[in-house]
Amino acid sequence: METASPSDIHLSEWQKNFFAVTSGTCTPGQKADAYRGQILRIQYAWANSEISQVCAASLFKRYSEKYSAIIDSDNTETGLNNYAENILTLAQSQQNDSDKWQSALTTSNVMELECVQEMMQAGKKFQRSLMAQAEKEVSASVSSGLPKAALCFDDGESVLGASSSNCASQGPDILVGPTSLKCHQNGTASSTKVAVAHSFSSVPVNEVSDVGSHATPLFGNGNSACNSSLKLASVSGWGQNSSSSAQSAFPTGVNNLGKRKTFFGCSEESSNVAYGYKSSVNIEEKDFSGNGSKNNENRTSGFKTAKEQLWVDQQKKYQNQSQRTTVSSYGGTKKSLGAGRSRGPFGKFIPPVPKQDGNENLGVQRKPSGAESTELTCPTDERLKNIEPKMIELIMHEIMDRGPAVNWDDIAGVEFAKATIKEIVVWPMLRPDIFVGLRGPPKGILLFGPPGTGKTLIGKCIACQSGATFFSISASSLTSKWVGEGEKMVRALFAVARCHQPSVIFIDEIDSLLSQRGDGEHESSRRIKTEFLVQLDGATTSSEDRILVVGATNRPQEIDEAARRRLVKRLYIPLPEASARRQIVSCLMSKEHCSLTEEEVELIVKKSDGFSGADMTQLCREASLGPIRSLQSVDITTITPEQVRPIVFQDFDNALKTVRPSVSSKDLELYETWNQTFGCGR
Amino acid sequence: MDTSLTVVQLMEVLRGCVQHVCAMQETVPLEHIHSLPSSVLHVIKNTFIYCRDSESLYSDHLHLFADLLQSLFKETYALQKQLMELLDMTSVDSCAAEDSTAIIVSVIHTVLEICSAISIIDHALHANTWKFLIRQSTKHKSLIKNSLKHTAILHGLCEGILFSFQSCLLLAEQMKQSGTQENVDYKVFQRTIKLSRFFAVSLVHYTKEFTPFLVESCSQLHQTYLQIYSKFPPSLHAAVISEASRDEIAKGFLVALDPLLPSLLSFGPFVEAVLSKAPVLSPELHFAQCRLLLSVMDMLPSQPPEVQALWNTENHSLEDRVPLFTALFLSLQQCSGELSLPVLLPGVVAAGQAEHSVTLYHYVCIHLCAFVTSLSVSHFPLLERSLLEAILASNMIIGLLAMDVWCFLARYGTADLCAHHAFTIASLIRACPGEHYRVSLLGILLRRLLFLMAPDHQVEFVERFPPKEMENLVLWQHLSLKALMAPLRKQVAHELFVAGLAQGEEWLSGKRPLEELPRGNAALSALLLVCQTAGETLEVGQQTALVRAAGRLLAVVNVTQVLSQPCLQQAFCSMFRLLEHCIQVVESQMLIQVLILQNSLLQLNPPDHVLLAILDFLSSVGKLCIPPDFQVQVLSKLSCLFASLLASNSWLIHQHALVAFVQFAEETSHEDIIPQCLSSEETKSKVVCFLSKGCRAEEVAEARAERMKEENGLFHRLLVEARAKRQGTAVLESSPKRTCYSPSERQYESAIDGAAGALEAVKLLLQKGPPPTWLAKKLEALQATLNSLKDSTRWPP
Repeated sequence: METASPSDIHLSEWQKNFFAVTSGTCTPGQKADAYRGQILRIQYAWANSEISQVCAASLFKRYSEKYSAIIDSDNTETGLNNYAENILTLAQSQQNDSDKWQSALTTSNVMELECVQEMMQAGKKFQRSLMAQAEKEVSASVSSGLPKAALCFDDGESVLGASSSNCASQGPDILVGPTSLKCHQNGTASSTKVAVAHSFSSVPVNEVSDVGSHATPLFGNGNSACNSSLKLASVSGWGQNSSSSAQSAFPTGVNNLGKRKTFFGCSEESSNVAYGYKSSVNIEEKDFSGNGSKNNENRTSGFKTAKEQLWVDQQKKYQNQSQRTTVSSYGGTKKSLGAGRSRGPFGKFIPPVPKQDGNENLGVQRKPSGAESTELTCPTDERLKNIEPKMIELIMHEIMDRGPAVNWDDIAGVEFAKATIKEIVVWPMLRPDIFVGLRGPPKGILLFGPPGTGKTLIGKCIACQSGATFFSISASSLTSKWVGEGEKMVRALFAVARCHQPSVIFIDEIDSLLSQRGDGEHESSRRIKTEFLVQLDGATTSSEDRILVVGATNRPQEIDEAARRRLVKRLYIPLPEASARRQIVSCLMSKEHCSLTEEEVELIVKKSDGFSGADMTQLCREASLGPIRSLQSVDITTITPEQVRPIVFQDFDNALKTVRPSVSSKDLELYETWNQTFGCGR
Repeated sequence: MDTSLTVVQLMEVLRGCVQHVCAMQETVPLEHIHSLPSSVLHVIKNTFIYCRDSESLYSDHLHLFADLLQSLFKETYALQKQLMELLDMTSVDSCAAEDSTAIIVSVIHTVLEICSAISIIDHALHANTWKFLIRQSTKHKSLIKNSLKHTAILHGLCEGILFSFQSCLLLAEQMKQSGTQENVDYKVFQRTIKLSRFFAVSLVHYTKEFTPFLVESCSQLHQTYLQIYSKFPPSLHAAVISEASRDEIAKGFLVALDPLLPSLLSFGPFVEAVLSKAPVLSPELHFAQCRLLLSVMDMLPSQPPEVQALWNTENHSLEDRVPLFTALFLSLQQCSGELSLPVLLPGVVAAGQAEHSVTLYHYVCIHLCAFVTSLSVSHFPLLERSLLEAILASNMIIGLLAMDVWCFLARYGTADLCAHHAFTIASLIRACPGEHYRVSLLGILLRRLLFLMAPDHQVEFVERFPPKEMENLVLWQHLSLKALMAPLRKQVAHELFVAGLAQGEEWLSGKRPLEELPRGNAALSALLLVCQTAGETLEVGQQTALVRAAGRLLAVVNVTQVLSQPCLQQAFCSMFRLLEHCIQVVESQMLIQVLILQNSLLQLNPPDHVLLAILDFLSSVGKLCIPPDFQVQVLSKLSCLFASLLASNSWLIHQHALVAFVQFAEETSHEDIIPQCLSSEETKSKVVCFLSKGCRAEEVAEARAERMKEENGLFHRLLVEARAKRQGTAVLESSPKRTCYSPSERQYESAIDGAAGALEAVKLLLQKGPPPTWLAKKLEALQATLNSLKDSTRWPP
């Protein structure tokens, strides 16, 4: 017991796998690994002569059947779908001749293979030995042992010959259907590799009518009739299987339509369910071929990737029906197909290969300006395909900014910065046709200056005035919220931005994201930085992209030099000058009940030298509380608004005692020197 | 002492000389100084060798000369540096090519010797010298490419790589053992990685520059690659190093080596070296070979068709070479240990998901399948054949892999293809005489394919191989009726049942049941299949008929015959399993009869597969409720059976007995029998352990790795034995047929193969660049030799 004997170790290893399989908590992948482990043990036991060959064969058969039930099943919960997901990720964008593969094995030439001949000989030998045994034991008839075996074999071969000729004659027949279908497909897509999903989309029942309305104008009446018949026919099949979400996970060209997708696991569960499924698939195939020809007229490909489907699903979940923009004519076929069958909302969608898409009109749709219309239009963009949908969703919902519109007039002062921005950003966005080549817009600008001087407001204004989608993101949300996913987030952000061109990515406190890269920093933040720099102006970015990154910082000196290079225009947003401060005061006071003379305002402006815009606002707030404070004797709960006296100069004077400028002159010097070294302003 | 001082002075003089030349002009034509480099290099080389050997030369007195040697070394070093500078400056006049070429070549070869001399003295100098060597050889590439000793240079590079890589590993291992990352160690470690990286980069560079001339070095390159990867985790034979150092080595060194493979991918001789099966790789290299082949598979799809063809076709002129698929299967066959461990490799990074490790099998499977997806039409037949060969190669896990790939193929390719494969394999199974292990492997494949076939093809399948006909029973016994659609399944199940029962009856009522047993077995297996996969379609009446037939079989045979007749064993196994499925209709009388039979079988120590069948039967007995009259008899027999099976020596039988017993115990209504089965304390404790999922033998990781290595060794021995046996039989079989051949035939064969290979290499060289002038003459001479050989073959000896 002290030292484990080999067989103890084998046993415990086997049991470990056994418990893994029976525990019910492990994933299909782990189960498959466990079964393989058992098969390897069997193989070793056989090689080590612990068990006989017959025993090994029967055990292998037993366990490989269990194993194949997992591997071959396309049920997403219990099966592995032949590792298709992994394989197709690896195999993306490679040549694909699978539709042209022709087997060279025939029933006759297969016999000539060395390995097969060996097998035949082994079989003969085995039979001979059996016969010999029988003869030995049963002495009654010695005559017929060997000849009989040979006879048996001859019979087999003659049958083979017959069936091979049969096979040959059938070949062409089978081929006709697929090729004709394939023509339609090729008409629309440039590449022969377009994989057509048997997109068994999971359309919840309540969506059906909606979907129908989209589909009808495209395909006419014939199609809707088809729909209803389909519904009738397949209800019987799927009614029994409403909760089961097994779906075909396989990419197939149109030519593969005839292919059935069975799922091993399910068919073992219940015969009824399996039957239902299969019959519905039959119907679907027929229907699809019908639609295929209709598609031909519309010149749209019926292609839809899993990602796209996922998008659609998410749109349904998270957004109002009214806001949803339909994805052009795209996928209409699928919806009409799926209409008859309800697979439940949880039906997982499976990745048919998103090979070369080739469908141009799926790309970006330009949106009119205004925040409301920034609802996404391209859930299906090619460029988003490698990005986790969850991230896209996060970006769409949390980062895409939909605040009130901002005007240039809302920003006091900083005339130079405004003029520069108009020149290099807004105009190019409005007239991309003029601003090409050298006039092309920069990829990034950096707004720097003391805090509270309106940098964020400028960023917002850029977006509003240029009609671009505005992404506002604070550096901290990239670095902290999704720890470890930061660089993916950055990638996702840029991918989404690329789909919503023109777009403005505004990054507040950019210094914390793009600080100097040093030795001591954390690996993840370094990765984020690198990714950001690459996305901003790297190998992957094209000059046609109309994405502007606006960074705002009050620590420009901390920005990495590589980032500094990429943020071409570096604009100093200084403290508001006297005129700007006056504008702020009069603007804010115009909305209040106040009595200030021109001279008094001038005095306030003079006294508030060194104040930032935010400080000015704070000053006015403080001053506006003055009249309230003077109402000491009266109960605040009972007074009428009329009783509150207007704001007077004295209030400002008092306020100036408490509100101090938030920026020190030393800081200001820093900005000035940095501006002189790197800035683009005066 | 004086001599040494003189030598030092000599060095200084030489250096001054070289320096002078350097200072003279900006570029020095080589012809002007043609005698200088070789002589200086000669001095340098010998001095270095002297320094290197000083330890053994002076032995105990070394410390006396240490300072002097030091200055000698320094001087030589300075001289070499100066000379290298000078040579970098020189220009070569293309007119005077003949002379210059000889000079440069001799310079490079001497530098190569210096390299090998100083490899253990000074790493930096070693690296710098190599750098110089490679710089010079690429600089004058066009002049000297035909005269360089490429093999020697490459050999030196490979040695350098392996040496520095191994010292990396050694340092990493020490760091791991000491547990602390001492700064000194760590710095040395980092420097060694850099050195390895340098060698890797140089090797890649050199290989790229001189690929056409590396014909002879290909197998060295291959071996070097394999050795590096076999010593690096996750290989079983890797050094135990920490994750961090592993990462560092991978990022610093292996990355630099990566471009080597793509640059050699299109080079015919390299392909030959990798795919050759002639030198059996040593066991520890197979895993690395697998990885190499998989890397090739990853790269091939983006290569031009002719490169793909190079890897994917069989070369008929060279018998020793196998196609890529086969090579992978062959190698993986030797990686049983790595598969069982299992070795983990990086999985596919799906979008937005963290990278996770997968087992070797998984890794191989997905990479192989991904390669399969890119396969062009012309290479497809080869894939089919390789898969078929792999399935029939009687290695289970390889067979399984081939089946997995085949099933993937069935779903990825067209439905017609899948159907065609199914039909072909079905005919193959039907044509094979007798039950055999390999046939059952094909059966498993066909069973899986049937699930993947389109419904109309399934119908066609049933029409082509109608279950009604007796000869098809052999085929149907391998399949699963669950794969068929319900109406078809019912029909097939019915037909099979009728046919099977009829044949069974016929056989039982025949005069000589034992002689016709194979037919009877087929019938039984088919009936068993119906029970297993379409049991619900059987009515009680049909079940009773089955049980009655089984009863008749019981009556016919004598237990003692079972032991000597495999056929009868098979019949018994099928019968026990049949009864397992029809247990509800088994009457108590019959049950007792079966139990008695099993008990007496056990006494005779039957083969293990019979035991498994008995266990299958026993596991179902729990479902029965035994009438009181028979309880004593049945239960005593049962407890006896379980007790002896649970005590089995074979761990596999023991395990299955545990499972069967637990199932029985859970279902049975006669709880009082359970303690009786667990008569011995040991058995009891084992069952309790099993139920609590505990008490496993613990094994440390190192011991496990060791065990896996031993398992690999076993498979290696088996493979070698099998190969020897096959060659033996091949010779035996060929000798009676071809009596006219002398025993030297094999020698002829290998000689001719070698000649063909050499000619092939010449052809490749010609594609790469202009041939040397003498080639035409030599070829003519060869032609003449060939003609004379041809003439001499006309006469029978």
